Amino acid sequence: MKLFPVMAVVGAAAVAAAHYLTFIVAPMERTMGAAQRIFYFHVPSAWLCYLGFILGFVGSIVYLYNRKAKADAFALAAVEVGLCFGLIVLLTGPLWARAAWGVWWKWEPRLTSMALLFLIFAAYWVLRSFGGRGEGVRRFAAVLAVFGAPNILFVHVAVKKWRGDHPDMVVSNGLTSDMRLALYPSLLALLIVFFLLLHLRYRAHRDALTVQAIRRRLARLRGI
Amino acid sequence: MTVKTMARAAAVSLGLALLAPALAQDAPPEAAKTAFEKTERLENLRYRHLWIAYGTIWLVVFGFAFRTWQRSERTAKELDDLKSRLADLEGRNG
Repeated sequence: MKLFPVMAVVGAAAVAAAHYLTFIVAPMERTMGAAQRIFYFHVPSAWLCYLGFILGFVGSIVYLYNRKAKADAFALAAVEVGLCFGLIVLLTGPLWARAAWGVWWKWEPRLTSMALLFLIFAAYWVLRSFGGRGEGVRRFAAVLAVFGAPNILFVHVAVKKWRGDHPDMVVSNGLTSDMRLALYPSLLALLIVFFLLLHLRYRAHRDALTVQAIRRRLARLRGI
Repeated sequence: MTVKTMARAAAVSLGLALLAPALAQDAPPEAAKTAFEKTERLENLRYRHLWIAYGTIWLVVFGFAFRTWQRSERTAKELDDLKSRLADLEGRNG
């Protein structure tokens, strides 16, 4: 695949540019200082984590409807990429929390619901990784993704609904224009990385399925 | 248990181990913040740890992408080989 080196270089350059905007161009926040700069990667990572799980949900619905292995492979790839960005969220959040709250973690609604969402899709991944490749496991995992994805809604409304300590909706009205100048390119850079990973993981799962199918066919032909 | 399985189990354990110290913390109460305010203070040296943290994260992410690509390349070669063997066998069997 010749696309990967190009996409990887574009992705790495975009991430480097986003770092420049985040750490050099974006202004220092008055109360949180340097720790606020985590925001420029933390928030887009959270959005892309949601996107991964939503695509996993869509792939699972399609798989449950038509039983096409490609839909299942797409769902698995999307969940894997969602987990990758979810891990970034859960690792960078505590860095900010330590600086802003003085602790690494708080059992407040946004953090707790995000951890639960991550664990639901981690369960999906563990099931797919250790449960074998049978039809039953695929169906069970698809149902898990279908029931897991609506929890994104709980994570999203957690701050407003249950009044936690997590900063609320600062993207829409709490950012200065030069802060936005760092946020949106970061989102674009992470989006490139997201689709690069999604493409690679989907291709890996799809090709593995084709290899299996051809091996079975070869075995049948040799048995003639 | 294969090496691949053990590696996956190790990755899961590592993830949980990273989360464990965070989960053990207690929290002092504080009001939610609804907007960021900018300041002119320069603290470049104080966020060196952020560079290191993000440098590590991107190294892992791009390393993961590179490993997946390498494996895909191997699988693609195997696929080509299997397809040609299949074509041979189907040709011989008519």
